[in-house]
Amino acid sequence: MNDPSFRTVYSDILGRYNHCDGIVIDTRFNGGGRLHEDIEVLFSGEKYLTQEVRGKDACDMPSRRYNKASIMIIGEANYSNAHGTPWVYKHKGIGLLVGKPVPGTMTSANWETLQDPTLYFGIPVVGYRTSEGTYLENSQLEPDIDVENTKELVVQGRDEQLETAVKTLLKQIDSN
Amino acid sequence: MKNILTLLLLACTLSVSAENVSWLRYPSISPDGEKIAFSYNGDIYIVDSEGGQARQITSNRSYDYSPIWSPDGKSVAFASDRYGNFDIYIISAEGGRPSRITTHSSKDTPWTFTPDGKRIIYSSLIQDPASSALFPKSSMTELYSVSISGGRPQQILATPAEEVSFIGDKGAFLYHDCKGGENIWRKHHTSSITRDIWKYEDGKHVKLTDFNGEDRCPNVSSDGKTVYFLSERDGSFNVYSMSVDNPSSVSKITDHKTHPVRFLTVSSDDVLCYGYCGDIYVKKPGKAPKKLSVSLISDYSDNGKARIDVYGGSDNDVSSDGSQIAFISRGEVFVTSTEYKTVKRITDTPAAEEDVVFSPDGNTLAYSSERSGVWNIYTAELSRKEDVYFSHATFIVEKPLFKDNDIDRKAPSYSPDGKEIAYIEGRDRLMVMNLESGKTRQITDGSQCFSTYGSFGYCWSPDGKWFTLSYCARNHYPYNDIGIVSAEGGKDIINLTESGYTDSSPKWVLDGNAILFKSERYGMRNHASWGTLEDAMIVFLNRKAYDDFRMSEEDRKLLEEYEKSGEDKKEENKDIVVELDNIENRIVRLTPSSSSLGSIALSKDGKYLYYQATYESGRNLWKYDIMKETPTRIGAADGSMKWNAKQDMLYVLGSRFFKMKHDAKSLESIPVSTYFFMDLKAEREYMFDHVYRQEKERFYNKGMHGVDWESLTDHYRRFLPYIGNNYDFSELLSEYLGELNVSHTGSGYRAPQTFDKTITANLGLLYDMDWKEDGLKVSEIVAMGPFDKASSKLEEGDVIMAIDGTRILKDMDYFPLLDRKAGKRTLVTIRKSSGEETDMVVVPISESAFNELLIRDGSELMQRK
Repeated sequence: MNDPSFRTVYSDILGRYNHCDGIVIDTRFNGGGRLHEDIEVLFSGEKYLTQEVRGKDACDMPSRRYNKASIMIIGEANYSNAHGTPWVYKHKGIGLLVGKPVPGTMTSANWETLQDPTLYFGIPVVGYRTSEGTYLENSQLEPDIDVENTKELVVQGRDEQLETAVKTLLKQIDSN
Repeated sequence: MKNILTLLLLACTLSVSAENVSWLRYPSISPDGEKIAFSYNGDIYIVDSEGGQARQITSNRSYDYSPIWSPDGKSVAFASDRYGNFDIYIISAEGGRPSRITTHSSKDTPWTFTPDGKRIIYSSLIQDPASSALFPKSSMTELYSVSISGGRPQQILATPAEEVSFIGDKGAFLYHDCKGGENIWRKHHTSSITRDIWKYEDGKHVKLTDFNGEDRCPNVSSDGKTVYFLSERDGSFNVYSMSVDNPSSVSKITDHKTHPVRFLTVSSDDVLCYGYCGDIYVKKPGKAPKKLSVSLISDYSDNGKARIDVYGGSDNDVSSDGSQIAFISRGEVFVTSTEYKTVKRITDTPAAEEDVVFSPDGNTLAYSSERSGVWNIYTAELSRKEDVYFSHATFIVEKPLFKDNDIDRKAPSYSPDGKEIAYIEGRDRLMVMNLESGKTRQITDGSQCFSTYGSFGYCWSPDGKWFTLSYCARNHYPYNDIGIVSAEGGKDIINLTESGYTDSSPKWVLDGNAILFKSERYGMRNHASWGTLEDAMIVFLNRKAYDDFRMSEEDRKLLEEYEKSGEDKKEENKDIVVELDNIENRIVRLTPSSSSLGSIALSKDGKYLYYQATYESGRNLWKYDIMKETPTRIGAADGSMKWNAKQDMLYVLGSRFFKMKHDAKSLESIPVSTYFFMDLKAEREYMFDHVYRQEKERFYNKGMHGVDWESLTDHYRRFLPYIGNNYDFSELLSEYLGELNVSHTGSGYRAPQTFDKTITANLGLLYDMDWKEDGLKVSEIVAMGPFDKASSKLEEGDVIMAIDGTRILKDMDYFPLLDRKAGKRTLVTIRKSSGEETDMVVVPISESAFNELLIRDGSELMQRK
């Protein structure tokens, strides 16, 4: 997750999909970055005003945050900030997590090139401590709805995790 | 008598003694249980399963590893990087010339032969079927089989399957899965990503293990009923067995402590073979495991010394008179003349030297070195009267600044009068040593430094009474402020910026009356750690400097005329006046627009700003007339910028060196070309110790996750004598670092490109992986790829029959037809559904570009659904 990918998400959800009632945020196989704060801010919007022009609704406020329902898909291959992002999403109660548990890898690292520049190694240097005093490192994040993509079906194009996320989100939207 | 003596001598010199060795990896027992193939130092060896002297089977300079036996025990397949990336080769168990079986440029890893011995099962990253919903991640390989005589691989599974072991000969097999990219050598890990063992039979996958740690490396017994495997279920990897049909009944077979059992294989009469602590173990049914004593006779694969070519470096400094540049390359200190091509190497150690600086008089260099196990500061002095420059010096005397140093001391910098040296102690404190008295004093206490690298930038003021530095004032890391602190010591840092935005890279300008720095205040802030745009900023420490700077051109002219007249000549007061009142209003943005900003410098008179910006595709040096607000592009430049003492010559010191007269319009290159020899073994020993200390000093948790880091270090260090290449070295480091049971560690080796490296290009197509006829049947034309063109004649369902005129016959390996074709016009022959053939010229792309298209295509697809 880097700066350009965030801008693509921002552009799409408040642009081409601004008419939709909900969104599925798929974080699977994401290798990390430093987006947990931006994702938290972006998806935790709650509508507080409507701009009106002579009887026509012009825009919901906040206008730079997503005010509608969302759900997040996670998996075993989420790494680093892709552990921290769904952790914050769940911790802040923004929405449900669907998929498989994420290993606890939310730790900042220095990847250092050695004196022989063909070699490198990693040092986890910044830990992320919860208010309970535990680190996110090695603390697995559990989904609210545990769904596995079966190997036989995924190669044929079935994505059961996505299907469950869509179904759950639609149900949430309908009940609201 | 004379003759006899000669004979004896000859006998002595020619006698070979087999050496006992360790770090024997990837052992694999032959089906009859008589022999074990293994890899040592990048070659394949075979030894009797009772131990003894091993026979070298391969001796190529490439890295050969992961041998597997054919069912008849006559040949061995292995992976080798002979063409720049790992392909599969087969060689007779007697040795000889191996034949290449696979040719795709992704990494191919062999697991087993098919029970009939005709094909090899291996993992590679070639293509998922067009239908697959799996994300195209490099850790998610596919499983293939290929004939032992080569040819087109057949895809068996499009989901990752490793360490395949067949059950009987009906095609059923066991494997362990891979769910993502965590380092394979990590230990004691319990989480969702750890491997599980699966059975694949009749198109169905059945999971056999559900322990939340690692279960790996299944090996089916000859009767097909039992599976031997490796598991960490009791804390450390050991061999276990379970029933194939009733996988819940698990028995522990071995009981090794502390370190992992690796590389399990089993013979047809259930003799187990595995690796433990760099040695090979054999366990016969009903008997205790036996460690093999293995010796071998081998030539050295290289001379152990590498020629290192030096064309520039890092950590550069220029002498006050501008005559020389000191720099670091591959951990050594060098000094080059800026006028001539002479380069002098100052240090000769396998350990790192860093942070080299000149003393103000140019007669001494100071630098830090990690040679004694901790960072210490050293000075090197010209010691013959005849030697004027380091670049041409003949005899240099080096001294450590601290004797019996037991704490990191780094990043030296001379005071402007040359009488003191500032340095960083204990990774976070700024200190000063008086060179005459030897006394030291603390300038900052480290409580506001969160640098995880163990060093930070700081600068002496021109009057020697202050330092400027960027620091974390109020627990808002990493959004640093700019501060100044008295060089007397014992004083607090004074915050000049007090901003929530990141400010960095301060340096004194205008004789110390102002500080130039960089700020992200006005530019684009990144969303994900990278991409910030910055500006050059200046903060004026007193009102006079600010007023001078704000003066109109007219007023300035008048003042200059007046001063020339000699009246009211102001007293030269060299002490810097610091007026903190209202200082926040004396911060001025200098650059005309934000950019991805490199180094910045201000001319002596404060009229011109030099800055490196990335408005175009590369980084360029700009000279900005501050008064007239006109930027002028000088040319490509990337590197720190330093003035000579007179400030009439600017030096740009990146990986290459340039200079520019202040009134000139272009940069002039300072070419550097020299070389030296590095003792690679000694360097690896140093790098190992470096990794040990860095991990110890920088690991996020002071308790090191509860491991005994010292004894683990001793354990892994003892394998260093047997490490002769960087693949093995990085694997050793990964095993060592894997003991911490933490994410974001391990080591890697980026093998340098070879001239004959295979680089398979991609046509931007997904093929029907079940197609068994001539040609390649196209199941998907990937959007925005080489065939997604308005003029394209290709449709999904068509068959690619030839590439550049070579027919693609059934079973033929077609990857060589795409080798190094990325970016090159390539003729593709297409057979339409009508049976008619037509030619089309396309430009293939790289595999990585193709993967980008797949990710974009996949996300578009999901959005459409």
